[in-house]
Amino acid sequence: MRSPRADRPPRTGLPKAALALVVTTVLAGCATDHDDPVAGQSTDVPDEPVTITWQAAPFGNRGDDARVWLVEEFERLHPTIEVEVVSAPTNVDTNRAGLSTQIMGGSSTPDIYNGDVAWSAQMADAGLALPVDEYLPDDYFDGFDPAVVEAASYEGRTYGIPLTLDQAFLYYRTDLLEEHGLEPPTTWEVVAEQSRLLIDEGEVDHGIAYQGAAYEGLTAVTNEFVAAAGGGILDDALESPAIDDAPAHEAVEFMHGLGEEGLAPAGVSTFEEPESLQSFTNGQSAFLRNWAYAHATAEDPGMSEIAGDVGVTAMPAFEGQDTRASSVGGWNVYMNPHTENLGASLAFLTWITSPEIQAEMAERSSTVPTLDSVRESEEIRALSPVIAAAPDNDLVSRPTSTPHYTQVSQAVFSNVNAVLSGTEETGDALGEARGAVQSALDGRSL
Amino acid sequence: MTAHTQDPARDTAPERARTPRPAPRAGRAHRAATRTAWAYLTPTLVVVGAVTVFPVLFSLAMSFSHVDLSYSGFELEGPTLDNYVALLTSARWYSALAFTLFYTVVTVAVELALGTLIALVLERLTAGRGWLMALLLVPWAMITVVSAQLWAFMLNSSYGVISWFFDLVGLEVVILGEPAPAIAAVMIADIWKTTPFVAIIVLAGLVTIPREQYEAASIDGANAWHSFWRITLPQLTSTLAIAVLFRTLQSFGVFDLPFVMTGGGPGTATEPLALLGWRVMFQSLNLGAGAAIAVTTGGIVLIMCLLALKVFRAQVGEVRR
Repeated sequence: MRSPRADRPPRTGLPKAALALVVTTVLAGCATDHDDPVAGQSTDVPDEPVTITWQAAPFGNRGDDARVWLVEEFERLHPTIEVEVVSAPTNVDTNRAGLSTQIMGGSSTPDIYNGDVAWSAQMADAGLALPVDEYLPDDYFDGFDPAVVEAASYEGRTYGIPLTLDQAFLYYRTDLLEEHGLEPPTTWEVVAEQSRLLIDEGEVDHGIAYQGAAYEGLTAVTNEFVAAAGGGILDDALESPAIDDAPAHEAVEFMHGLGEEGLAPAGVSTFEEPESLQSFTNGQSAFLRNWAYAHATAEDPGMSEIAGDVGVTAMPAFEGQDTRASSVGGWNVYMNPHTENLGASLAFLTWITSPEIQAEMAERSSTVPTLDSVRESEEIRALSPVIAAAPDNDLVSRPTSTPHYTQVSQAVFSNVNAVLSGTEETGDALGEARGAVQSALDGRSL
Repeated sequence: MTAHTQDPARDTAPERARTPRPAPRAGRAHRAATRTAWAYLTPTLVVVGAVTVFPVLFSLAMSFSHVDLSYSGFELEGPTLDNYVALLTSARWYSALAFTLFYTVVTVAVELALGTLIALVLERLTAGRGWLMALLLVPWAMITVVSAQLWAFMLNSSYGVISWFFDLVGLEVVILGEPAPAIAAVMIADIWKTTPFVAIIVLAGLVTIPREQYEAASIDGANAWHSFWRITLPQLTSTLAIAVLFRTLQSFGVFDLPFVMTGGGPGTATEPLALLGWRVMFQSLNLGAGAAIAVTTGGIVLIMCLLALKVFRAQVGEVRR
């Protein structure tokens, strides 16, 4: 009997094919690195009809979905350009994971995408965003707050177009403050003092709600507290950790004290934006640290028990300091380095950051304008109490200019969260944070 | 198609079969058949290769490389052990490993014990077993992200019903805000969800055990306790091995429950390896280290499953002797 083995096809066929697949893929990855991936493309608005894709999660703090009317209006003014909106996941991390997979894979779409302001350095370093300043006039970024441009830059180049500026505000109860003859607080000490009084009087259960869970939001909060105390997560040169210095100790100890004394809700170490907002809107907390969007919800009678009694002011400073520190948040628009529609994309980007459109966005979608001239104009400030309070904030960028910002942030929020949840002493936790930030900066951490 | 339809292929086939074939031609036909078989298999092999073999090999290669990201994609430079060194020197990785191991061992053990108990009860039920099984399967059928949201809602420190109950009995604890209670909460959510799955598997094993053995045992004077240890459990071993295997694989790769309920917090107390790997890969864009996490996790789970199988096989062998 003949062995069936004799008739087997040569066994090397498939592994060879697999090897070829591996090799071609790796080689594709090894293709020469262009300095200018869009070389040869015109920066002018094209005459021929083109379609650009814009990946963006819904944004705007009230009313219309800003994406919809922006696109409609832009297309009316630029009949040759069609903008196709691709809806992005609202979860920032899922959004980034999807985008980086797609762009790393060499996809030419989306041409442009909304990304968190904290992404710039990382996206730039990984080749996932184009240095747009190269294709824009030299003075293009002069109209934006330096903290905003800094947050959009990496190694001297600017990668993000500031679409909306988000910042933190202190929300308070106008009814309670009025009843007890109190002024809106401008320092953290006064926030604590008024909280104590309002709790003692039985008006509220807690003083101040904020975001204390172990996530990016806590890094933004810590950044503010530490900046208000005169320090920073990194030193001024953004080269080494300052999270174990005296101002940071003072700030984190203050945050810890809020919880210890019962001025912050017991669960604050699990609060993200929705939980903290809820603690305010259901009347449990007298004060709230939150972003601009919170105002519309807190004033909506359908969602809030305290609608009509909501006041908003710039973030508090610490006594003896005058920095009313607010972290910089919001959306930048980044450009895909593989875009085949440079001219059309630039036209859209410059249009949405024009003073007229920034003003219209403030009016229709209640976003805080990124252009200083627009944000600070009387007309715009009159639009909403949030926008009115914005210029009183001192904007402090998170140390996003390192490509390892994600790891830096992880080092900060996990250790500060340990303090807030009572599992570690401030001194120990910040010592650990310093070590972890250092190894993040060195590119040694996960 | 009717029998009268002209089909050249069909018409010629029987004719060819009738003709006696010379030996070399038969070999050729066999080769042709083999080729045809390969041709049919190729699409499957290509798909399996593309979605399983290639990614696994590629992750392995990536885990031993520096991954340099740029406009034109990524470049693998290596080989290097740097990614593994980064893991082995990272407290976060050890914390994730410890949590994942603890989580797997505890949840699988509890689910096995509870699942077996439930299966024993179900087996004795004469009425309503179908209904009860359907009810039991509700947690298992529910999408994990949804049930995790429900748990998070019930455990929420401000308005959660469980927190309210804890308050009522004077226990002041922020369940998802402190490491020990948070770990317990995530594990309970897993046990709640997956015990029914184990129960159904065990029940399937139980019904195959012949009744006569129990009758014989009771005639010999064995009580229920003895029957369970001497008859039921030994014959359930292979069923339990399957349950343990499935559960270990799944439990070791847990992602969704902690992702939704705690985000891995407080601190990194409930961050499993899968969540860490995803974060390192797609938040830090640290592809090399992310691949190293995936490879080590895969390796560990493989070893655990082999060990589990070995233990069960040894037991089965003992019984047969």
